[in-house]
Amino acid sequence: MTGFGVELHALSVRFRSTAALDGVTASVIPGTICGLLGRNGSGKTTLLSTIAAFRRPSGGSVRVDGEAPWENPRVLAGIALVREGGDVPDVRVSEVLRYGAAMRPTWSGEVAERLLGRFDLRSSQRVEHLSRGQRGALAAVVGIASRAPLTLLDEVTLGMDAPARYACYDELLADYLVHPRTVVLASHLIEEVDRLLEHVIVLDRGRVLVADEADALRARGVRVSGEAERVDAFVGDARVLRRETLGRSAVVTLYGDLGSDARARAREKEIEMHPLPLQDLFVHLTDRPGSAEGQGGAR
Amino acid sequence: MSAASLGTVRALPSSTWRTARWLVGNTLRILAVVGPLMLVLGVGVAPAVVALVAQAGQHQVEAPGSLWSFAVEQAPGVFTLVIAAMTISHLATHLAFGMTRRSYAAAVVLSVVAIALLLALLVPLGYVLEAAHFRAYGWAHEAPDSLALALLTSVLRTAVWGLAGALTAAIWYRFGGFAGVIALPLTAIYPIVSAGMWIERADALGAPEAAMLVGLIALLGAAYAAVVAGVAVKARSV
Amino acid sequence: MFHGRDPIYVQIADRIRADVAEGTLGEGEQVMSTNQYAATYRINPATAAKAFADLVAEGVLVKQRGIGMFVADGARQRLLAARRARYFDDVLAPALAEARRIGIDGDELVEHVRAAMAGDDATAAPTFPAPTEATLTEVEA
Repeated sequence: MTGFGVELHALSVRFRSTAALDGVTASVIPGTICGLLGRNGSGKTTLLSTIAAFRRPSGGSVRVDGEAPWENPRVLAGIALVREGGDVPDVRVSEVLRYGAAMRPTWSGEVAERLLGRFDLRSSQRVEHLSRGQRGALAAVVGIASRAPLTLLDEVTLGMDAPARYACYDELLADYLVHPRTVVLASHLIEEVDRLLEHVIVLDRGRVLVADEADALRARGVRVSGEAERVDAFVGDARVLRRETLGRSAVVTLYGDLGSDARARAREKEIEMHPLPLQDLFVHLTDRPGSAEGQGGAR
Repeated sequence: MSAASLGTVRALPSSTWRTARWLVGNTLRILAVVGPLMLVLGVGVAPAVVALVAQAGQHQVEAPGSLWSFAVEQAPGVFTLVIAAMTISHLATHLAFGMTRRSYAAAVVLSVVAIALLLALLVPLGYVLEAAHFRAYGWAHEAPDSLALALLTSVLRTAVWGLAGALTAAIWYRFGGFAGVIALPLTAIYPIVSAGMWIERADALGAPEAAMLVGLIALLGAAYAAVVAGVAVKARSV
Repeated sequence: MFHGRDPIYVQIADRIRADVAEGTLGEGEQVMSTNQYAATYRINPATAAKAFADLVAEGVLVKQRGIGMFVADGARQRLLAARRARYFDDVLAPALAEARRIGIDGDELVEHVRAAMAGDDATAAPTFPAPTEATLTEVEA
């Protein structure tokens, strides 16, 4: 076993009258990297907090490695939730690492030290004197060096500049290859993390929109273009996310399984067919009806 | 967890013990600065200033009351605030590093008692130094009759003040600002209860007071554990 | 590295197929492991694994338990045969349709094909100028 799996069953979390999570059912397969995508307010942070037992469910259940994580010492010792800015003691960087080594059974001191250098953090700096980006980097160091069987990263890279972000992805992947674990990565920067993901869970307004293999989801997003009539005939009753016309041509963004012969049919009709990048697909799927952009795609 | 895939999985001592060590260690570092400072100011500087003023004014000054007694009396109130701040700021970190709320509550109670013990060690030291300093000016010094009793009283009272602070802060954190304000009188639980019990607030520790203090420590500890047991970690403010 | 719009696992598989067809990857040769792909191209190892699974199903790669992925025997022949079979539909038919559209004569086409396939020919326009004595000495100097 190389990581903890997560099972969510009809999970609900309510704050006063708002439902931050509403009947979420999904699983995270042990040892895989899963992306948790969703707009602001979609419930990503609440979901990760609940998995890490930072809060309790209002309804339904969450299981990590087969057990409920709440006040469960064995399971909790294997979960690391890293939030932007990190939850680290207010001391010097070197002492934060010492704390990590004392508190995390799977902590790797060598990885931590090496990553400090990679992110240009000095041991003597006080945490309170770090910039936003540096705090993010420190949180990333702690998250990766903890080597927790379930590592949850909640928008860790938010305050970091591009080189630091890519260093973060590289180091996370590199350590994952050497010591596999389950990683759930919540991020807005879908283009950047796309290639790291094996699975994807998309949340929208507290509900699961999609939970699937990343490649399967990507395959369902397609953009076709060509002569308008032919395109419409080709589209049939597949779900249209967006349709644009330019003179006699049309460009239609589709979501769905078009069948294995789709490419052949498209070529026949002289229709161009291109896969949609995950980021674009995500924007289309989570767009609000009634906005200037959203056409079709009714739920 | 598979050892082979995650590298070394170390067996660590109980999380209660580890956290208590951390909390006490952190406080000790502050104490290492504040303690000597208190001694120097209260026992060294203050009487010297009084003597100097007397000399300048060229009149006899009666021996001032023991400033150290005053400090010993007031310090627990400060301790309340320090413990309140420390235990609340560390809670999220403790949970984020994969430990339980149970172990945190136990660690806090342990730490508060341990720190109270350490603080109490300063007490006799202060009295001894102050007495020597007073004698240098020819002043009489009213030290408590029994230093040992003063010590024990100090430990128990300080622990109560500290736990009251931790509890009030935990209530504020879990139930919100309004509840926190309502819970504020809890920080004064020692004077309230001892006044209500008509206990002589003497330096000496009587059996009734001892029992009351130990009872309070247990009660506050249990209440703290109960509040922390259900606390949800707040979102971060970056 | 992966600029194209195709999914990364498709690009990896295509590259391996091309390498095998061209002979760059010989039969019996070992392919990079999923972890090596992941580390080199900064992708999830499962993506490379997916490419491998497709290639194994096609008979291009074969897995040796505990060791790695190897180019299967006869893979090159199979790939070239498959490309030959697809050539007329995928490559030639569109080219001919285009030729028809822009008005190239059938006979002209046939002449051109014959000449090109024959290899040496005076009427076919050479794509590169043959190096002359002058240019060669320039290069050597």
